[in-house]
Amino acid sequence: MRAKKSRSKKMSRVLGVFVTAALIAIVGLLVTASPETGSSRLVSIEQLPQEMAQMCASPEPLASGFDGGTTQIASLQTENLFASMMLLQQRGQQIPAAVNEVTRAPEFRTLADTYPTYTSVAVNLDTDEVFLQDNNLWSTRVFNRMDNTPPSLELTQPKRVITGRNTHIQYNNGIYIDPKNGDVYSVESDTGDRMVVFARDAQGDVVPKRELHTIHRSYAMTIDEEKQELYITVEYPPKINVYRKDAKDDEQPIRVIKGDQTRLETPHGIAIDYKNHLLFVSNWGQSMSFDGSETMNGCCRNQLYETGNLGTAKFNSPSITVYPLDASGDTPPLRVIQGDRTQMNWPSNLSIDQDTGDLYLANDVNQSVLVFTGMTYQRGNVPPARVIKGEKTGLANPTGVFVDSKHQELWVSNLGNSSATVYPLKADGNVPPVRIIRSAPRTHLSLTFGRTAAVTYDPNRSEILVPN
Amino acid sequence: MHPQIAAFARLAKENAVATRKLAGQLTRLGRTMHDIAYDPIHDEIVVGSPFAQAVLVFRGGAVGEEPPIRIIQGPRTQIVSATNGVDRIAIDPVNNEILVTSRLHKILVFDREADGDVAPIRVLGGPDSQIGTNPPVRVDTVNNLLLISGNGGMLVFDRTASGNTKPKYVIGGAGPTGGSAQFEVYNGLVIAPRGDNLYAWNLRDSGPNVRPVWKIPAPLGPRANQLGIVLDPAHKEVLVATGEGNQIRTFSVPEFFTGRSTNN
Repeated sequence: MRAKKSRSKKMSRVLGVFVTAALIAIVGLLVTASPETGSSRLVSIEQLPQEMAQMCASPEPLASGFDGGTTQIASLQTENLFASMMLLQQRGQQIPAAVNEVTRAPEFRTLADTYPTYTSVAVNLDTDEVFLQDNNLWSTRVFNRMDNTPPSLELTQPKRVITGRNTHIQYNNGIYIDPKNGDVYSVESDTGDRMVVFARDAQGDVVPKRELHTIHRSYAMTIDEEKQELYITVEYPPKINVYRKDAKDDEQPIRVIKGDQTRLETPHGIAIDYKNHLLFVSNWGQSMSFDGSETMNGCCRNQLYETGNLGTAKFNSPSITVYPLDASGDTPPLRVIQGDRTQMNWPSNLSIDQDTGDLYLANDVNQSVLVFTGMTYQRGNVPPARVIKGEKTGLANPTGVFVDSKHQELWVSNLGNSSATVYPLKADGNVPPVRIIRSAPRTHLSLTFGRTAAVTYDPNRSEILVPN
Repeated sequence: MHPQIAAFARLAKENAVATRKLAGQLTRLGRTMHDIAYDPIHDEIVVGSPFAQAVLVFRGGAVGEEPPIRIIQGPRTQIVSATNGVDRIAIDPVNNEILVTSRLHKILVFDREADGDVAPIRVLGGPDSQIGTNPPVRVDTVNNLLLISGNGGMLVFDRTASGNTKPKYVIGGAGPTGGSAQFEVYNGLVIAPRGDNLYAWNLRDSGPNVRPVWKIPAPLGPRANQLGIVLDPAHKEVLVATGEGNQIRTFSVPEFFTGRSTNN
């Protein structure tokens, strides 16, 4: 049965490639018929290597960059040729035939991480399932809460994976599980500009139950279940957008926290203390003044952006800003926790123990989890009450945290080694995890790539330099 | 998102361990580094910090949470942030200049050793220049030219052009997809990836839709979009950053490095 399915899948891929090739060939003929294109000199012909042949048969697009329209046509293989031609003409970017067209087999090597890179974690306490958000392979992976990868095992397979073009999961950083119905919320940070919501048992290349078109550079999210309000941090221009919990499509926020008095400075993590009606936000400290006097079209979804005022930017130290839960507009924080004693270094996602009010912070570059107590009154340069840090902890660029009050456990997702680690909730110091879910071999260190849109080369050291 | 500059050995492949990573609060790095430049003469790395209206210059061998050795930032710099801020950047190590493109359709040129709140030494921009928003820019020190990518192709200026100057000529259709990604100038060629091919145009050609002189297959794998490129002439290789593909692919392309660049 499986073999039959696989054969039919292969057949459909081959058919897809054939249709694409036919479209490309026809367009190619039309393009080369143009008087300005001229003819090419064929430089060489060789058999494609296996890797390239596999790639051609891949259901993924060959590349999303525009290449005389051929790629776009590949994505339109089920539509008619006329539509494809119209698209080409509209783009007006046909590349004339090159003087020299090389057709030899390309020789190349690939630098990539083949394992998931986990940015955030959440637990469904009803189904005992852990959800890990993956930034590298663009997936949400679901494991049993009690899964534990022994050192002898290469990795633990997830019980379900949500991934594929229909899911619209891309560089997602924030994840939230609805405590009542188990819906999975996940917000995207870069190329997708969406928050997607899936049913709790969703798997595969599934269409989300609903989507909310979010602001470019959204990072994390949380929900006030009492008021049914959804909070999303936006790194830049810095703000907190508050939506109806069920908001979808192009629905706008019901209120926005933004402005110079808010002291939002590249906000990342967000958490709600329900008991004390407080909102906590972690900030990286890149600050700029926005008086709202200038706006311009943004890069994505034609959103309008406020322009930062010229010459007002500063590098401040990272902070946690605290607001009343119903804050709106240019509201100053009630309190700010900031300074060298806090140990914050690119503070990422936050989670609160609703029983104690303790605030847990994934402290990415400091390779630690910080726990702040007394969060109803703390302010200034206060040290964390507890710090989970050290070689025994297994922490590697932790960016996600989740407090499981029911089982008195703390979950951490590690960007740096494709794992999630679990600790007793009151853990402190250099403590080993009580369990670990690894999605890569024990020795694997993630490349932590996140949209490699640029590259340079250092010939002095023979090194490739890759920014995120 | 986790901004970083990761370094890998030239021959690194899948799941290679980075030889070093630059990341953390003290580095001043921010996300959205759509361009990066290495200065091999002075051994420095230059990137933008877009959420802080800043240009950061690091030691070439910077590692860990090492701070930049120089920061260009402040009202005199004319660096605005807007949405993408300091998006595109270039280094001219021969003439000791750092070039920064602006969302306001300008190229800001700074002394390479500029530090702090310093004014640019030249500004190129204005309606006659045809410069778009945050365009990629490169300097051809051999031919003393400044190349600025745009939606319609490659704008070519004298290297020291300033003010509201018209381009010397336009290589129509040349350059990266949509004009908005890294490209390279080498050996009389303008080189950029498009789709699953590497293209090269003759630097001396001009016109509305110029024929490339080379088209070389370069399969980029799944999700490739928003591409970057750099050349390694010593090994006759072209490195392509696949953007959303989260990969770097290195292609052997001797054709670009043979010295033959004209139509023949």
